[in-house]
Amino acid sequence: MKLKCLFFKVFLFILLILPGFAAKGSKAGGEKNDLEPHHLRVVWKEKPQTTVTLSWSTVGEGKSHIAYLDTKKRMGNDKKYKMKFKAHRNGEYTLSDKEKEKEVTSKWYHHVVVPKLKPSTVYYFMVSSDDNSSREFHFKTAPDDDRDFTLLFGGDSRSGVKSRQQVNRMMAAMHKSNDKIIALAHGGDYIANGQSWSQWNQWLTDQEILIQKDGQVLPIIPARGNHDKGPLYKEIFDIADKEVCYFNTVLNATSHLITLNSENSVAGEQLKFLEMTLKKNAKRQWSLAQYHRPVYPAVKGPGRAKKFWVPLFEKYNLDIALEADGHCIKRTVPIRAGKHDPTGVVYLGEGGLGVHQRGPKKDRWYLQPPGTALRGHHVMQLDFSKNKIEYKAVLLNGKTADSYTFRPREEISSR
Amino acid sequence: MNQVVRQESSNRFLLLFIRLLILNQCLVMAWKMTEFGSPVNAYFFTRGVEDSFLVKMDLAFSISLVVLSIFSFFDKLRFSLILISAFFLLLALFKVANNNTAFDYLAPYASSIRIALPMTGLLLCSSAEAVKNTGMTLTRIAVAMTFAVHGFECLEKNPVFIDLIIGTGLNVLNYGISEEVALVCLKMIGAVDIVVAILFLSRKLGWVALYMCFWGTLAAFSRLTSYGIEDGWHHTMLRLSNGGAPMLFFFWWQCKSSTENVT
Repeated sequence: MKLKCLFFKVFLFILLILPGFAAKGSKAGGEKNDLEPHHLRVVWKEKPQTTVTLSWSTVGEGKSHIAYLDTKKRMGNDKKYKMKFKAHRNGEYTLSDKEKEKEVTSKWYHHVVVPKLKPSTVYYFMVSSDDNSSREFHFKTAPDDDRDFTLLFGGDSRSGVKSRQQVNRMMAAMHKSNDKIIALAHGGDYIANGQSWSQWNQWLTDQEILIQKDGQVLPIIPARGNHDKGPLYKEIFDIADKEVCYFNTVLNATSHLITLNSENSVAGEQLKFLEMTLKKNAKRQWSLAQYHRPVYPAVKGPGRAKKFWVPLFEKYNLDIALEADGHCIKRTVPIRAGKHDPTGVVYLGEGGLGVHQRGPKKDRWYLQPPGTALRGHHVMQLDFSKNKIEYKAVLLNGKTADSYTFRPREEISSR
Repeated sequence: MNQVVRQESSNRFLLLFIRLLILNQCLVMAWKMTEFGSPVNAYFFTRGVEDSFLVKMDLAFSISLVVLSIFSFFDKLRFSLILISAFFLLLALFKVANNNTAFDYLAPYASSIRIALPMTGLLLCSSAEAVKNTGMTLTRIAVAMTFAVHGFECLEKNPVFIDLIIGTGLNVLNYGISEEVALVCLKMIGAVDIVVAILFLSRKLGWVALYMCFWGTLAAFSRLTSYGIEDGWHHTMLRLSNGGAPMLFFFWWQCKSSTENVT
């Protein structure tokens, strides 16, 4: 009887302490996975020839977040990489109030600014959070000479997750088959609710589709859309709290892309920045701008930037303005002083990186031939060379929905 | 006898004025919906409803709104005023649901004059003085709310307002106002808007109503001076009620006080 009682007590004791051990074991295991780097991205801002931002997420906070880089493959051996940079900004992605109520788990962001890179150079890199390292990835810095290159442009990946993934797969295939593609310029509205971490988490996961099997990453040049409200946008693209969301990206020696923020004041400091940047880059062959709200829209009403930005675009002969927000495919006629003018600015875009498509208002004067307006999920491909930019809007089935050749202004004016 | 005649004629004038404001806001909104789409359209589009259906829905909304506003203008179907009011409330609520811009969550308050005016128009048709007073109180609250919310947006540095100040400075005065100065102006405008909203609600001061009429109209016209006629006219027209509604009270209070003086 005593023995039975003893057995019963031992059994009870084991029963009670086992879950404790199990929990401890799973926590230890969980901690290891928690710091596994994912959501890896390369962000381009001002001088992608020499400086890029490497960003990633982890489930847990971690203590030490480092990026290792080299111009040679090091197969993830952190001791062999020549360059090592600590994350300059880490933090927890902000949850919305609803997500806090629902006790949604957030993740942590880590940003490393990598300076002093060489132009047109492939950099192999891995990132690590504490002892958890990623596999080796690579990216190519932007050229600083006048060589040909290709830029992808799209906007509005905000809803329609399946379509977004399809477009991402298409862009990955385009990137794989075309080594001239240097980056994706995103015109904003990444997700439907900018304050929802869950939606950003999904978007970041979907962005991983763009990473090639061999680890090649397509850099992104982000513009802010009206849906990208709240602190998460800045947390994802490494923008300091008081930092503005507009900048000028030098694409190569002859081309530049100005990213503007149509959600902020368009007439104040941003207008000064725009004028200064256009003036400073006036000698470059190709001048482009990207922003979210169209000034010559195919669906909605014009953004308030029209009255402020367009005179500067025309004064400094901007070649192409890349717009999003309308959810369609649009190419306006060249516009100057509110009229069709062959020397004017062409407005492309309206966004189709996944969002449900709208029927454009084809009766608007600036969409009449040689302009065009269509619908369909798409990405826009811009092939830059010294004497032309070849543009095409590529649909999900790989077909070209629209194409156009941009010639230098002096060539158009002399005709 | 004269007093009754005067009262009736002032009532008729007020009703005509309200109906004009309602007709204007309905026609402009109908045009905007067909040209740029409604917030209802945007809401259902995001949830996967086909665009072609939503365009037809907007057209149906627009036609209905035009018909209702004509009915209400000629005082043919008073029930139409309830529908107009409900429709403007619906638009504001969908704007909140869409949450497309930073201040969309304030839409029902910011556009409360457009929502309240048709109801006031309906209640003023009553012969009972108490009902008329209720109608006017409704718009009075709406005017105060519209000004207070705009004041709050000014204090919160709404970028739209910054651009209106800079744009008006550039286009009208040919003077480049810096963003810094525009922000200082916004703070002052915001504070004044809130003060006049409180005064308007708590006291029947003619000069406050006149100031609000002036400022509401000026703010509406700042869209025109900032965005230009082609892109700004509908913004201005839609906001004319923000200046028109305080004007109603100026007349209403003038009329009341003169009647009281006579008695």
